[in-house]
Amino acid sequence: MRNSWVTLTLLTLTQPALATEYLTVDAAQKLAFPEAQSFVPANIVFKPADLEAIERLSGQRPRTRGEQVWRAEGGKGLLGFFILDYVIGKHLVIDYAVALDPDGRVRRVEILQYRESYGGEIANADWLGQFIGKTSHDPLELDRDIRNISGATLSSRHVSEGLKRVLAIYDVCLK
Amino acid sequence: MSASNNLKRARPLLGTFVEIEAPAHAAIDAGFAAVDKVHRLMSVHDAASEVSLLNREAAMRWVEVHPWTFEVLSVACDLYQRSSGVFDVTVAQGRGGAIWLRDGAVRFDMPLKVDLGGIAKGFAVDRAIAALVEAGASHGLVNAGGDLRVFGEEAVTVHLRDPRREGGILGCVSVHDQALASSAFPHPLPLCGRGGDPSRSDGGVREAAARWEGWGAPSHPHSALSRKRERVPSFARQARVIGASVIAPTCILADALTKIVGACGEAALPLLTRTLARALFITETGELHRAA
Repeated sequence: MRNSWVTLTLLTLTQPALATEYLTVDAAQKLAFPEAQSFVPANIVFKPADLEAIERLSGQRPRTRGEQVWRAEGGKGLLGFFILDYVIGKHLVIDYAVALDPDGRVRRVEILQYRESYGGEIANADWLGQFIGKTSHDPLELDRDIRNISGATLSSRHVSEGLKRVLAIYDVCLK
Repeated sequence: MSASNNLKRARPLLGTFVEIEAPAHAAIDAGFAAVDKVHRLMSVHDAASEVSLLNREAAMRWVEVHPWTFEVLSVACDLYQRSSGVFDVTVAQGRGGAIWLRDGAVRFDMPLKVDLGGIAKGFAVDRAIAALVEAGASHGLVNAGGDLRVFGEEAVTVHLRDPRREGGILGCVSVHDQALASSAFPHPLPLCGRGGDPSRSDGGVREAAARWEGWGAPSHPHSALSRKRERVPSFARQARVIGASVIAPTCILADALTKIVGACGEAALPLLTRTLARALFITETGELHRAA
């Protein structure tokens, strides 16, 4: 146990994390259900039988004891559900929200917060020559400076797996 | 592009994270709608997509397609010609195979499959940018898993991932009213014939499908490459390219050209020049090149 803490600390030191906050929960709710008058918390606490049913439907056992859910209410009643979930991406946590119609159809999936780790140094800045914005003499501040990244495609597979689990949670607990 | 007056959102689309930055949520919504439409038209994994329809029926009859699908196929065929067959979206069941395009309709001269995974992501970025403009945004940025395009008065700094080190940054480039796409080639390209894995005799269909599938597994970004190595004789003398970035006027071009640069290295220079593009690439021996 002690060892894993040490490893974690080292990882944290050598792999600075960049967090991008796209939307707050409030903002995401209003975007998903612009016609809603209120968002009523309707959090779920899983019963043992729920966990089994969710795992049977989605192939995944929830890692949490419950799920954060809001009912989007309009003038004529229920407009849908807003569910806050998270998955582990390649290494770090991705917060995302799923908006469902009352019948469980996916209205939208939106990333709320994305974290990624970086090596923390520029390998070789000079070769870029005329393309360069910053140089190696001008150290990067990861949180502030790195805003746009181009490179190997990041897979959204973890989010799609999470979505499957969220839909199973709807079937078991909200339907 | 200052951060203060911008909104930035991300959604899982095209098998990756698509990020859109613009001054208003309505514009961002329009951008995501365009990406979603490209996804629905061109996903090879969705049986209801037009690409799947073509793969089922275009060998037997002319199939009318949406103008966007037609446009992507036109650009793909043009790049096939211009790259002497290096860039190839067809996955032939046997040898040869041609795509005919006429009046918004498509026909194959023999049973074959197309996979637009190596080009449609760039096209989706271009359509999203067009949607932002149409929605009245003064500036914006669309980044589909590293293939991105910027418009507006200000230049944007973009960092390039280092294909050799996870989490590493190679450097940064300034992008202004342009597109930038990057591809990493961690495994030898089938094209190169340099110890390409013979077990991958499916012509890349499986991995291309996985890559392009909306909710798919990660995969290698060279599905659009043919295996016609003999057409790139100069390649044999070069070290293998493990990562390439291309700056071009449009993202569909930048996206496709990264694959050609990945296969051909500096031999792609004439094509880059003709398409007003610039490339940066890194070889397995760690050499960094600029072709501009």
